[in-house]
Amino acid sequence: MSRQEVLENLDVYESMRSEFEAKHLHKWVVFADKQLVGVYDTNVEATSAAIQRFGEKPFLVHEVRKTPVPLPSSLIFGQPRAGR
Amino acid sequence: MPVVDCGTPNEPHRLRQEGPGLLVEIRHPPSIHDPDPETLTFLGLIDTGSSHCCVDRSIVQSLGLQYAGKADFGGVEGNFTAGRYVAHLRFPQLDATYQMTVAAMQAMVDGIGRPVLLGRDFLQFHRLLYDGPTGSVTLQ
Repeated sequence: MSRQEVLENLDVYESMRSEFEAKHLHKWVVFADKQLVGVYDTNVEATSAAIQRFGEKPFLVHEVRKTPVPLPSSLIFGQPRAGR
Repeated sequence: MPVVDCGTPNEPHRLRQEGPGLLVEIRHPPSIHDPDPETLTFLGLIDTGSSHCCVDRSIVQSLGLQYAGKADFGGVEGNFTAGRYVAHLRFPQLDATYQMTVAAMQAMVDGIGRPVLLGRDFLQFHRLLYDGPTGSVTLQ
């Protein structure tokens, strides 16, 4: 159930994506109950504020960006461990 | 803030193979209902190539971390989507604690031998010095 609520918040974000990209690019936004509740500079600030305010109630923490998050190089170039 | 050596001093070849590591304790954020949630401790890989901290999906499932959305990831083989989860990360050697979202990745242990990647969203709060010739990596 909570996952569904988070995804509903994500739908709201997607509907407002162009506005966010124009005003808050590279910031972190927090949504709950399908409403924007804050814009923050970092993941840590956004998540800490969301936990403080909502606890275990569902919320969405999302980075405003136009391009996909770069995949960790270690995952791209990772090598199997010795003995495998 | 303490200065920690995350490398393998005097063993530069090991540093090249294994990369810099830092102890990290991961748990669900404490709450009134659960002030002392179960904690798992790992040796995380410090990864300047990763913009975000990532954990193996099994950690998310084991600790029951709270879902907080998803993100699109891009790599050499195209894009994919991964879930993001709220985690309480404590770094005992640094005496530092952060609450942040981490991306859940499949089979990280099998792929890179480490269940946790500490990316630039963690490093933005610290100073990292990588001394390849000596094998020393200091983090402050």
